[in-house]
Amino acid sequence: MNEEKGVVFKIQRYSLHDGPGIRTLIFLKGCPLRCWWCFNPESQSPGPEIIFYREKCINCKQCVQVCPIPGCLKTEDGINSFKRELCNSCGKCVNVCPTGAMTSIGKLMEVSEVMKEIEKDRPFYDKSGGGVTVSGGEPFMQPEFTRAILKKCKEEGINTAVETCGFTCWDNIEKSMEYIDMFFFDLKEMDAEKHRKMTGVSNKLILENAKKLAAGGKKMIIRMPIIPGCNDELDDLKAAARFIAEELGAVKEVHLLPYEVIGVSKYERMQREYMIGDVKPPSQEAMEEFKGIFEGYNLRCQIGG
Amino acid sequence: MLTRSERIERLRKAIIENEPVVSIERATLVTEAYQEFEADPILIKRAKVLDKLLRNMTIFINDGDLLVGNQGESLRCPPVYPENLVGWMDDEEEMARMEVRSVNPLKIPQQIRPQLKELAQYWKGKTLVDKVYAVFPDDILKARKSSLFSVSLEKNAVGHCVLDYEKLLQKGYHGLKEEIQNKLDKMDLTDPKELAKVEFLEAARIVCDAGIAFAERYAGLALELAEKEADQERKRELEKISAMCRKVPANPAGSFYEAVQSVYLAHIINVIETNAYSMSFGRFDQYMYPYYKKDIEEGKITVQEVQEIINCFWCKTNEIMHVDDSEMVYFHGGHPFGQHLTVGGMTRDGRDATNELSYMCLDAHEIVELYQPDFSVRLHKGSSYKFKERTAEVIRLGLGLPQIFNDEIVIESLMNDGLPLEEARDYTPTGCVEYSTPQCWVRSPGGWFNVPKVIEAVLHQGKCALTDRQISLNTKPVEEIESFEEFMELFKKHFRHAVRLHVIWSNLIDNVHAKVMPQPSVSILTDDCIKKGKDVSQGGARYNFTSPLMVGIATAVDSLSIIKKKVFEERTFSLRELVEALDSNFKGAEVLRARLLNYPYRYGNDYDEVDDMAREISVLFCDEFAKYRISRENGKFRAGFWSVTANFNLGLGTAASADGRKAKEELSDSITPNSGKDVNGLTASLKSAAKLDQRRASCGTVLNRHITPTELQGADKIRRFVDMVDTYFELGGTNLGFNVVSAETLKKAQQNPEDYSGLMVKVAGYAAFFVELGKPCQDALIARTEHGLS
Repeated sequence: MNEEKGVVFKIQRYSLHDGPGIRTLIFLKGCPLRCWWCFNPESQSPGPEIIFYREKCINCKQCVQVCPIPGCLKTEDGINSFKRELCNSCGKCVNVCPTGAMTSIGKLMEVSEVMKEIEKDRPFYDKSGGGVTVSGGEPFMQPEFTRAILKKCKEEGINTAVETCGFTCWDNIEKSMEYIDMFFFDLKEMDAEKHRKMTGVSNKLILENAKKLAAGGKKMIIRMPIIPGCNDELDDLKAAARFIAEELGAVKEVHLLPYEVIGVSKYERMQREYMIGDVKPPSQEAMEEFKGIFEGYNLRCQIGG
Repeated sequence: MLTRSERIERLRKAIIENEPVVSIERATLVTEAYQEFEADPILIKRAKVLDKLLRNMTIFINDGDLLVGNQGESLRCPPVYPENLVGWMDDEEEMARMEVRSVNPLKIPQQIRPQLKELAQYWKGKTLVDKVYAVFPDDILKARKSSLFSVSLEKNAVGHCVLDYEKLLQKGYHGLKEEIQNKLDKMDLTDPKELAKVEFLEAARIVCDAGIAFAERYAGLALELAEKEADQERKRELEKISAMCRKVPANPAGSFYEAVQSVYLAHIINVIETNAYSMSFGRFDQYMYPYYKKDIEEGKITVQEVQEIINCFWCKTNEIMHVDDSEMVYFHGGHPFGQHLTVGGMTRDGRDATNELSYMCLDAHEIVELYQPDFSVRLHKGSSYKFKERTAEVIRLGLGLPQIFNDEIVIESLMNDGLPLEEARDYTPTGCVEYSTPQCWVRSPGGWFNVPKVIEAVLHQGKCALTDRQISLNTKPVEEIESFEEFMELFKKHFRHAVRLHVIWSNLIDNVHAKVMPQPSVSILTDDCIKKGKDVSQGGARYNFTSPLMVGIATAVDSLSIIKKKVFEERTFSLRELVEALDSNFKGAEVLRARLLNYPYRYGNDYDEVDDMAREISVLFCDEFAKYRISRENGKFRAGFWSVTANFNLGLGTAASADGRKAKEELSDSITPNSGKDVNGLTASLKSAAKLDQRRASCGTVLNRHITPTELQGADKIRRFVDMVDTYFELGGTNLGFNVVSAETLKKAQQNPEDYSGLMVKVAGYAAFFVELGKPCQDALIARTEHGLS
């Protein structure tokens, strides 16, 4: 039988923030949303892709010599430049680059390879009640791969969590349900139009899935990023709190994640525009006020993951 | 929130604000004594030197202090030990360096310099270091000068010990004298073997009397001060100190307060005897507990009063300092004195030993916030969660201490060295980490062994690449090395040769110590010196060890991993090309260097193939040294895997290495991964370190990790931290030290040292003021991966 394969963006060990105990986070590549504030823009597109870290480049030109596509990698005035739109991700430049300036983001991995990484911190999960959290991108963009990892984890007795944006057909979630101990479900904005504008998709499917999932009996925590000027109006947050309290009866806990400045460099590297410019993180007082709104609906609410 | 009393605030301030100034009094007294007692055999001479010092040196009592005992003429004035080393004393350039250096600057007043020069003239050729260097054969001298190994108490007395303070408190110096007299009375002096012991026993009696006289002087001074004191409360305190010093350490301690004073006076006497580093306090919470319990039960003292005495004790340990020359200072950045104090762990019969004093010491550490004593917590499977949680809270304060030790592995390693179970359970780290008991005499550091230098020898036919000196075997040129297996065989050959040289070097130093630097004051509290009638330097202790320490394991393993993959598997470049790049210090080979630096399969990332190499080298290190015996009582070499800051000093003598490190840069620290090259997270680096057979390192291992305050924020995170530590220990780790700071903070401290004079970090086995460390060491600390930050 052929093993399920998927594109993994990053595997991060010793995570303390995404579920109980000490955990390994599996970030899968590909996301159906295009949130303006996305912290990991390089995780959005589903396939492996090449990124150029200009600051690591020592101008040795080895990449220019091996690139098969005219004009993709070239030297102008002694400086290397990389045209992403021409790149076919063949990876030849990555192989010769001595510094890691040309780097491939996303790696095609088999479930057994992922499990091998997961198993490495087994003693730490066992001691701390930790386990694995599959995140993204969006895990359900690769539903079979996600399910295969989670199933294997459950067979091995490892605690599992999934962090999802909720924008997927319900069937994908439902088929994996039995292998998942808890969900982190992202909620960005209640207003459908604003949601579409800021994330590229409507929130209709997301809210429907949230309701179905809440009724499914698994532990579920709602996570809301707080992006000043985007979704931090009191009415937005009150609507979200009301929705959670009234429509997602089983959900008792909300995490508010304050926006953190990542700078535009990540977007420049992706040769993309950073839509929210120089937004500042919300103040502690503002966060406390938002927290109060959710607590007003008898929801446990914490700031940060 | 714990707060400092006004008294502790004042004592602490005096320590922080006093600029260290070299004091000449001791040097003058010692020189007079050596001349006066020239005819005496060495043991008697050393005892009489101590006697003269204790009866004539300046003594003082700090304003408001509850404890007495001072080292120099005034607070934080390190004394000079001309019998060890005088090279710097008539070297104006060296003195100028000592005053302005970034690491531990010391003021040397102009008015004492002519005297220093005069003393240097007298001592030249007579000092410990002169006599040590006089016995080195040429091959050893070459290897030593080329940093194949470095610094093994060539300029210092031994130290790194814990004394039998339990016995001191029960018997006092009078009791010890009685024991000595009984021994002398029973001896048949017609037996030459017995006759040989008389010298030590006489010396032992002299130091007991000297100690009693020293305490009497404080009793007199305290009374004098009490008479002049207007403040009634202080007057009563001084009267109490006076009465106490008349009683202890001469007699058994009758209370907790007396017990603490007795131990501190005995400690300072040992510090004055030699300049030995790391005279340790050991299991303070254990030997003090009976006195504490009795006083509390009888209502003689309150818990608050006990805490204040412990806090004063904590401050006091920061008064002691050293004069280090430019070489030695590399090993002791941040003025550590390595006075190790340990709490927790298990009792001799295997129960949890944690008691109220264990917690009060943790509180003292939080309240006093200084860099001494070197403070450690012993944990075992039966330690309570409450104790671990409190330990984590104190670690979170970011003082760089306490270090945490794993009883199960340490005890097993000591039993492998021949200690019975009950004695092994009573171990304490001394100095940095070296485990000891009052029955052990460990010469540590027994030399730092430079593993990357062995690779340099393989690549250069046994030559030092920086000086072209032949320091090892003349083996084949690199062109003729055909496989990685062959490369490793050569590596092992050079390694074995280097160990042989190290062993000879180390034993030669041992022999000189026995002849030149006996330590009778230390010996009377080390079992079984009195019984055997022998000084520690001559093998008087029940167990005798010397500890060679392995340095640069990550530098070496990363280099070997690269050579294996890039030279022999992928054939990206040849060994000759590599050697040429290294010899030119990467000049014109920047692309190759980039490739080396960017190479990912390095130690500290939980890659079995790489970590297995680290394990293999560490086992080789232990196995090779295990083949040999030390001079004292046919004792053993016991390995340690840690560097303090020796990785900087040895780095200075090491050419560029295949991991991309440039010539003269520092080697990797202890068993810590190369700075910034452990990219797979904290757990990965713990697993890599646990793959070394740490049970074999009975002189300890050190793993330093950075951790950010957010990782210890709140009860939930602290529980995960404790789980992480417990897991490392279950995997076979023995020691963990944490620096809880952000890189941002360190950078700011580097730029504005004046704003961060109190910032403390953990360097290897100790904590130091960050701003007193040298820039390379500061840079390395900043670069070390900060786990938990994505």
